[in-house]
Amino acid sequence: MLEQNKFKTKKQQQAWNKTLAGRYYNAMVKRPFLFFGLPFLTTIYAASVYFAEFTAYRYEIQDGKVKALSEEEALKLDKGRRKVDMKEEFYRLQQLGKQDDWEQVRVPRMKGESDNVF
Amino acid sequence: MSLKLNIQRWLFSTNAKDIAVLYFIFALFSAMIGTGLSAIIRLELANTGSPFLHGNTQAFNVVITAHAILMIFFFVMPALVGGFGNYLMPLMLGASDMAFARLNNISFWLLVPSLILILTSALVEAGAGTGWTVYFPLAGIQSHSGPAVDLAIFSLHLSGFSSLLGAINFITTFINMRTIGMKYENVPLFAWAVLFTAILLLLSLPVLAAGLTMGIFDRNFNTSFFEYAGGGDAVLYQHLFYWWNHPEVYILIIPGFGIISHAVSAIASKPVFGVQGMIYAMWSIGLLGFCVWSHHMFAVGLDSDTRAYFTSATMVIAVPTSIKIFSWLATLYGGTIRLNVTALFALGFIFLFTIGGLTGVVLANSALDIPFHDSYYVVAHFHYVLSMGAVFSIFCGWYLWSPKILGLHYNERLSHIHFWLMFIGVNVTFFPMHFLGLQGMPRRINDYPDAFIGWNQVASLGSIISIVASIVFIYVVYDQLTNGLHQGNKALDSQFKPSFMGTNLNVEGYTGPTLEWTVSTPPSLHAFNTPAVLY
Ligand code: HEM
Ligand SMILES: [Cu+2]
Repeated sequence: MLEQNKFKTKKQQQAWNKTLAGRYYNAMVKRPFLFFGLPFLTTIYAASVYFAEFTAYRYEIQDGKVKALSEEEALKLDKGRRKVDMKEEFYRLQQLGKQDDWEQVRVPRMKGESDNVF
Repeated sequence: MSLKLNIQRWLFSTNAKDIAVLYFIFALFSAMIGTGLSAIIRLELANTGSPFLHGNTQAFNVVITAHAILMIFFFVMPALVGGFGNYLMPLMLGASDMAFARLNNISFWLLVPSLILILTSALVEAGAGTGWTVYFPLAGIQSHSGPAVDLAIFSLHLSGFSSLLGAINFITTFINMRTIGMKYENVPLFAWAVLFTAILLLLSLPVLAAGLTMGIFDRNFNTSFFEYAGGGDAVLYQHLFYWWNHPEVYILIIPGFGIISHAVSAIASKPVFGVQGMIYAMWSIGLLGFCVWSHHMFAVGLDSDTRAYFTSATMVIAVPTSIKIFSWLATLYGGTIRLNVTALFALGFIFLFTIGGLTGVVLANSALDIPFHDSYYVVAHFHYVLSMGAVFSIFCGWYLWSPKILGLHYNERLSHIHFWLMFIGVNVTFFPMHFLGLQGMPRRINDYPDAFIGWNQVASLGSIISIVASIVFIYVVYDQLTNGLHQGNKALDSQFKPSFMGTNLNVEGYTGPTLEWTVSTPPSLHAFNTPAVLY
C-alpha cells in the first residue's frame, strides 16, 4: 500500500531527520519550489534538449543503412541481367503475340436493364 | 424580475458567477451548432461519391472549418476556462470575485460578435474553406477571394482578444486574491490548472494574432509576408500558427486535468496523490508546450537535426503527462470508489485520453509522421484527446459541480445512460479512424476510394450514437433545470454521502478539501465578502 506516514517515536524522528532522506524531506516541505519544483523542471527541460542528440544519432545510423537507389543503380545490382535498350524493347513488345485476334463482344445486360438498341 | 433588472444582471454583469453561467449557456449553444456541423461531415463521408453535398468540396471544407473553430473556441474554451474557471477559481481561492470584474464582462461579450463573425464567414460567398489552421497560400486572396476568410480571421482576433483579457484576469486573481492564509502550496489543483492555462494563453495568443494580421495584410494591403512571389515565406505562417497552436492544445486540456483531479479525489474520498508532482507536471507541460511546435510541420522539409530535436522534445512531454495519469491511478488505488456518473466520466477520461496520448507519441516520430501527417490517424489522435479528453472532463465537471452551482439535481439514471451512449458513440466514431489513417485515407477530402467504405460507415454510425447521447445530455440539463428540486439530493449524495465502507469523516454535505464545498448551495452571489480564513 501507499503508506507514507508510519508512526515514529521522538528518537526515531530525530534520527531520521539526520539522514539524507530526512534532511531532504524537511527542506522540501519548507521550500517546495527550490527542492522539488526546480529540479523537476530542469530535469525535464534538459532531457528534452539532450535527448535530441540521441535521436539525431539514431537518425544518422538509420540514414547510413537505408540508401535510395536510382533506377539504373538498382538494375546494376542484378548480376545476370539482360542488356536493355528502350527502343529495342518497344519493337520487341510489338512483335509479341498476335495483334488483331480480338473481337468486340456485347456484355449481356441485366434483367430489366435497357438494351439501348433503337 | 423586470426587464431592466434582467439587463442589469445579465448584460452588464460583473459577477464572476453570473458570467460563468453566461459562458455555460454560450458553450452549450455553440456545441449544438458544432455537433450539427459534425453530423454533416459524417453524412458526407458515410459513403463514396459525396452523397450529401453532391461534390461541393468547398462546402465540405467550410463545414469542417466551422466545426473545428466552433468546438475549440466557442465550446471547449468557454466551458472550461470561462465557465468552470470563472465559477470555481474565485471560490477555491476564497476570493469574493475575479480581480477585474468589468474586464470579465468584456471578455464574455467579445465572444458573441466573434461567434457571429465566424457563422457569417461560413455563410457568405463560398465560405472559408481553409481548415481551422487557415494556412496560406490557401487562405490567400488568390484562393479565397471573397470576404469570408477576412471574417473568419476577425472572428479569431476577437475571440483571441477575449481570451487574452480573461488570461490577464485569471493570473491577477490567482496572485492577488487568495484568501488569508492560502499559500501557493494550498491552492487547489483546479485553480493551478486555470493559472497555467492563462499563462499559456498570455504567451501564445499574441503570436497567433500577429500571424493572422500579417495574413490580413497579405490579403488586403498588398504585402507579401507569406507570398513567395513577393519574397515571403508561407512556412513562416505555419511557425507562427503552431507557436500558438501547440500551447493551445494544452490550454484545452489542462483545465480538464484540474477537473479530473478534483473528481478523482471526490470519488475515491481521498486527497489527490502527489499534489506537488501534479503542479510541477503541469508547469513542465506548459514549459515544454512552447518547445515542440514543429512536430506539426515534419512534412514541410525541416532538416534532420531539427526534426530530431522536435521528436525528442515532444516525447519528453509524455513524461509529465504520465506522472499525472499515474497520480490519478494512485489516488484511486486503495480508495472506496463510488461508481457514480462523475466517476464514469473521470475513468473514461483517464482511459481514453491515454489512448490519444499514445497515438500522439507515435505521431511525434518525425519518420512515422511523414506517412501519417494529414491522414485520418491525426484526426483520430486529436479526437481522442479532445472529444474524449476535454469534452469528457467538461461532462465530468458538470456532473460533479452542477448540483452545487445550481442547487438543482440531475437524474442519475439518465446521466448514466448519457455516459454509456457517449462512451460507445465516440469510440465507434473515432477508433476506426486509426485504421483509415493507417491505410492512407487523407483528412479534409470529402470523397474516398471504395476500399475505405467499411470503416467510414462504422464511423458515421458512431456519430449518430453520439448525437443521440448529446440529445440525452440536453434533456438531462433540461430535466435538472425544471425538475431539479424534486430529484431529491441523490446527485450530491452519490458523490459525497459516506458509503457503507467509506469513512464517516465526510459528514452530511461533505466539506471536501476545497473551499467551494463549504459555501451554501447554490453559493450566494458574493460568497466570500468577508474573507475566509484558512488554518
Ligand atoms: C503526449 C502528448 C501528445 C503528443 C506527443 C502529441 C503529438 C502530436 C503530433 C506529432 C501532431 C501532429 C500530427 C500531424 O499533423 O502530422 C499532433 C496533432 C494534434 N494534436 Fe497532439 N499530441 C499530444 C497531446 C495532445 C493533446 C493533449 C491535445 C489536445 C487536447 C492534442 C491535440 C492535437 C490536435 C488538435 C492536433 C491536430 C492539429 C491540426 O493539424 O489540425 N494533442 N499531436
Ligand atoms: Cu502539438
